[in-house]
This record gives sequence, C-alpha cells and structure tokens, in this order.
Amino acid sequence: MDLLERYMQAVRFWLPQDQKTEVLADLEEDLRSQVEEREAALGRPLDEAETAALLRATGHPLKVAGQCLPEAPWLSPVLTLVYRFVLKVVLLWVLLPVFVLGAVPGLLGAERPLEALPALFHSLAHSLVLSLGFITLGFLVAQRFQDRLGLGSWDPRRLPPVVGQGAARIPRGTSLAELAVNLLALGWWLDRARTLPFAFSIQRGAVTPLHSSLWAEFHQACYWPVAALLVLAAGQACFTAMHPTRVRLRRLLRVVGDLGSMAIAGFFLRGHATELRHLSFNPGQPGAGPWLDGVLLTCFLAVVIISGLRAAFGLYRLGVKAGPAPGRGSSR
Amino acid sequence: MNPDPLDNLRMELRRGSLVLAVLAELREERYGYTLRKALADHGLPLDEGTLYPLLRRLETQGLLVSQWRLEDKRDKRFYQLSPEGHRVLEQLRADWRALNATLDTLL
Repeated sequence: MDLLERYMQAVRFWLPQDQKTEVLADLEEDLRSQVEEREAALGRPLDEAETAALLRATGHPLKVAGQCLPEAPWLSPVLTLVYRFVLKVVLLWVLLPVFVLGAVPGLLGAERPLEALPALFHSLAHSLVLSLGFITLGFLVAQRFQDRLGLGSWDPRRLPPVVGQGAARIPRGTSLAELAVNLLALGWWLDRARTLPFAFSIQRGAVTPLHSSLWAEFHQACYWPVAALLVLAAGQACFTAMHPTRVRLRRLLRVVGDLGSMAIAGFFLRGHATELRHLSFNPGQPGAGPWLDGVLLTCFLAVVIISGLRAAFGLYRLGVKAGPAPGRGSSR
Repeated sequence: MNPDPLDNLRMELRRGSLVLAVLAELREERYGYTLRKALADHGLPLDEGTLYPLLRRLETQGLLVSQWRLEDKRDKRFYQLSPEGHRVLEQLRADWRALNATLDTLL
C-alpha cells in the first residue's frame, strides 16, 4: 500500500487547495476498491508490480489532478496545474522576497517614505507584469509540445516516498518546550526587560549591565503589543500541546505572529529612520550608546525581514502545500 | 500534434450523454467504484478523473445527495438521486427520446 500512498501524495501535491479533501477521498476509496477486488480474485495481496500496473492504468498524478479542473480555453488541464504552480513559486518565492529585501529597508531609510511609495509600486507592478507575461508566453509555447511530456510512460515506483506522515502530528515535547520558552520570555518582558539580556561589560572583574536608551524606548513604546504576541505564542503552544494534529491552525497562528513581529519592529524602526541611515557600530564609546543602538537597529531590521519571509513561507505552506492525509473530515 | 477530429467529435458526443447515464444509474444508491463498474458493464467505461468531478458537480447542482458510510470496514461515499435529480432525470429522459427519434429520421 506504500505505492498507493505515494501516488495519493503526488496527486495531492497538484490538486487545488479547495478540492484536495474531496478528490483524494473519492480517488483513494476507488483505488482501494480496485485493489481489494483484484486481491479477492487472486486470493493474495497485490505485489508491487501489480499495484504499479493498476496505478499506471489510472493515470499520471498530474493528469488525474488536471481532470478535476474546469477546462481552460487556452491551456490544457495538465499545463494549467503546472502554470498555477509556477506562478505561485515566482510570486511567493521570488518576487515577494526580492520586494521585502529590497524595498522595505529602502523605504524605512528614505527621508520621505510616502514620496518613495509610488516609485516602489511602479517597480513592483513592472516586475509583476513582466514575470506574468514571460511565464504565460512560455506556457503557450509549451502547449504545442505537451505530447512530449511523457505522462503516458511513467513508472509509479519512481514516485517520491511519502513525506510528512509524522509531521501531521506536532510532538507534544516540542509544544511544551515552546510553551515554557514563551512563558519565560513573557515573564521576563513583563518584569525586567528594561535591561538588555546578554549585554554587559566586564571591567576589573566587575560585571556591569549595559543600558541602551533605544531598548528602553522600545520597551516602553511596544510593551503591550510584544506582550500580546508572547501571549499568542504561548497560547498557540498550549493549544497544540492539547491538540497535536491541528497543524494548519498552528501554521496560521505562526503567520499571525510573524506579521505582528514585522509590524511592531517596522513601526519602531519608522521612528528611527535617521539613525538607521547612519548606523554606528563603534564600540569605542564605553558604557552604552550608539554602537549598541546600532546593533539593536540592525536586529530590528533583521526581525522585519525574517518575519516577513517567514510569514510569506507560512502563507505559501497554508495555501499551496497539502494539509493532513486525505479522507473524509480530515481537513483541519 | 492535433488530435483526430473524429476522436474529438466522439468525445463530445459521449460527454453529453454521460450526465444522463450517471443520473440513471443513481436511481439506486451506489458508491463511486460500483457506479463506475455498473457503467462499464453497460458499455460506458469512465475513468476516475471523469466520474468523480462529474459527481461533485451534480451534487453541487442539487441533483445528487451523498453520504459517507462504513461498509466492509471502510468508509465509502454513497451517491443517490435527490428529489430534484429524479425530476431532472425524467425531463432529460423525455428530451433524449425525442432527440433520438428525430435523429433516427435523419440518419
């Protein structure tokens, strides 16, 4: 049955999100009925070659998934699936990261960010139109050669192994560790976060904590939003510890958390655009001050970029990748 | 590169009659695989990729109702005509017979 599961996984990969559960449940039930019927006729379980022959007769996963789509007037169902996949990859994995990495720091550092916005959107629209145009053109050309895709001569035994069977369940240990870390962080933030952790100087054997006015300002300005984020993260960890199969909900909450982190750090950086443009990492000034603030500003910038990328990745996984195993009522 | 025009025409001819065949077979309750077998036994083989999207479409249109039930230790989805489906089937059957009679005079 491993081959059958690998086949289902391959079909699932290509199916549109809103059809995964229904289509896979029907297809799996049909295939298992066929296997049962043949096994009953043979009086023994099907071997790998026989299962492969049955799956080959059913059709290439791409073709089976393509049959579930409404017919597009200009592209075959199979190529429509690949086209959608390529568009998602290009938009989410290429254009969005390039936009975040390139535009956000520039916007935060600009003297007049509002005036920089139109040029930014113009550049983004230009990239979008060009990418869509080239991809669409490429697929229109590919349409003429689709007979050479080789979907008729495939071997089910070459399908990739089933992945993520274990991942559909979040280990309780992971959730409990996340809960502990978030509660500790929350306690620290609510109580003693006015001083920076891990920032101290040792002079003549005495350990002196370093103070940063920027950190104190951040703590004061973003006290409640950060506390809310930590409560959300702790709540999510607590929930997934009790419901380890709610993988999609956990992903969704993480996206919310990442977007929140990005918004908080971005909001704070907006008030420090000038310092951001003139970052100073000179540790020659003892005690506190600009070099530590420079490190902090860089960290905030990194939070904006990394949280943005994580949120994009999380959204991609929510939108593109499969949820839990197919079957009735399995969509969570 | 271009498929045979005759194949295309046959496919179109067949596609139009599939709905009628499926509705007729679902006057009694069946699950997907037995429905496919019943249609194949009548000389109308259908692959999974054609039948199940069609069943979902007919269900969305309110012509079928489906129900998951445990049978032989496995969950199976049973389909059957809805009251609206029965009404539509009767109308389509009358249309089909009239069309058939007309075509017979032409052919």
